[in-house]
Amino acid sequence: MTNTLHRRGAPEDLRHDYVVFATVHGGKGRPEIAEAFRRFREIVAKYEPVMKPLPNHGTYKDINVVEPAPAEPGASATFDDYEKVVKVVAELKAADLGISINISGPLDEVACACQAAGFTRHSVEHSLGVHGNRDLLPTADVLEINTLCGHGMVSHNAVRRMIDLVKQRKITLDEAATLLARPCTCGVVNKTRAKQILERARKLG
Amino acid sequence: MDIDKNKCVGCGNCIPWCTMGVIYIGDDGRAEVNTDECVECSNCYRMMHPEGMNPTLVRTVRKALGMVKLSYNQPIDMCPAGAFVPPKLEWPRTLRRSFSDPLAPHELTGIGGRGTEEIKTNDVTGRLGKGDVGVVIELGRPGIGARFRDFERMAMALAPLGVNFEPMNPLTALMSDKTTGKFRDDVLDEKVLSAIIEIKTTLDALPTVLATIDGVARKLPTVLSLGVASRCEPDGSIPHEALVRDLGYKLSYNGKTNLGLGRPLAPAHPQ
Repeated sequence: MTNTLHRRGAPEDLRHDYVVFATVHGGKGRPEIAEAFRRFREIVAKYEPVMKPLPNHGTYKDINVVEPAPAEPGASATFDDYEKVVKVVAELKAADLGISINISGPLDEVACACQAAGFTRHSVEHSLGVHGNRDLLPTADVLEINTLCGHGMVSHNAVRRMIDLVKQRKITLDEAATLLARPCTCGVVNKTRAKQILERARKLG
Repeated sequence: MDIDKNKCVGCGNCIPWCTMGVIYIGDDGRAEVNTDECVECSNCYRMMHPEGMNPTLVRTVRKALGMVKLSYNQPIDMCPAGAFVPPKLEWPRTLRRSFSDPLAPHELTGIGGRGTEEIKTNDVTGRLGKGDVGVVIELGRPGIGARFRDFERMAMALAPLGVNFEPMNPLTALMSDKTTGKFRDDVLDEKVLSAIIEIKTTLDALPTVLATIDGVARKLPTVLSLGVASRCEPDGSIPHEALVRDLGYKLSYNGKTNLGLGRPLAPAHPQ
């Protein structure tokens, strides 16, 4: 989830897109940290995220050989409903896990969720957009889905292919969104938004 | 990534999943990878489930069906005979995988990902305090890719401004001289899906830093995604917001918020 802040779209669409994630600075192997992550996953799962923490977010044993090491549970969840995010923030505050919690999503809404839980946000990062040789960029629809993965693993061509298949009715919106979410090893692609974007592209013909 | 030509049936299923768009069907009717442009992200390998079919049989059936203008297409995430072979990489090509494949850790820092924790743990580390600004410059994003010579160009333009390159960032580890932003010569031609130059500067210096980034970006053969972060004031307002807007940048409606629920390492950190 390197840069989930670069997700693109109209404000009315982004209001259905929140990535809540836990991060720890050092000492990840300590028992109390493992317990904090377990509690985090328990709390977010209770509110039925559109994408749950994935169990397969491991690393390779050796950089030279593609052989995944034993999986380490992920610590992110993607929501498409602001009311759920408000409840998650309140419960995470009450749980006092001691680890860093971040949310990628509409900044004003997240600030309000913090206020509702009785505290003020700590730090904020804005995206200032894409610069450089923008002639290389694909269409807005393709970019909106591509940027749903923080590591950019959802290729431009995969999005184009899914749009074509959806238009030809060879695949359903849900099947296309599920396939597009799969390359994202962090599990932060918002399938609800992916379906909305694919549907919009289909209607445009 | 390598493709075993003895197993490839030329169905082309893998082509759309390549993050760099560099898999193609060669003159022999089988898939090939442009290895100079491949960033070793392994996305094709992970997305293509081997179907375990006999490649000769599949080719024969496809050819026969083609003669009567019919076709048989496997599901789009299937490689009929499992033709993808992740290669054993040698330095400096290993860098392509460590920066581009989210499951691969960095040899130099042991940390996965393309940057560091940046503001994600600012509530614990206090890395960005009052008056500080974090700037993240992700070259290659979204979905275009970049070579380390592009990163060097940006870093060498920023270094004279006195910015601090994040020491734990894997790009910083590739610099032969952190005071000038010069990268090791042996890595310059390597290409990655994206990577993030992370710097810490001050609000006062931010206009000059952003102008410098803009100047370099206009000359780059690729794109970059830019982000700016700061620690909020006690009332939750964002110190960099008005300044960046006045400079003519459009601030994103969405972004990343560190809620501040982590326990600080030291209460005396600058606020």
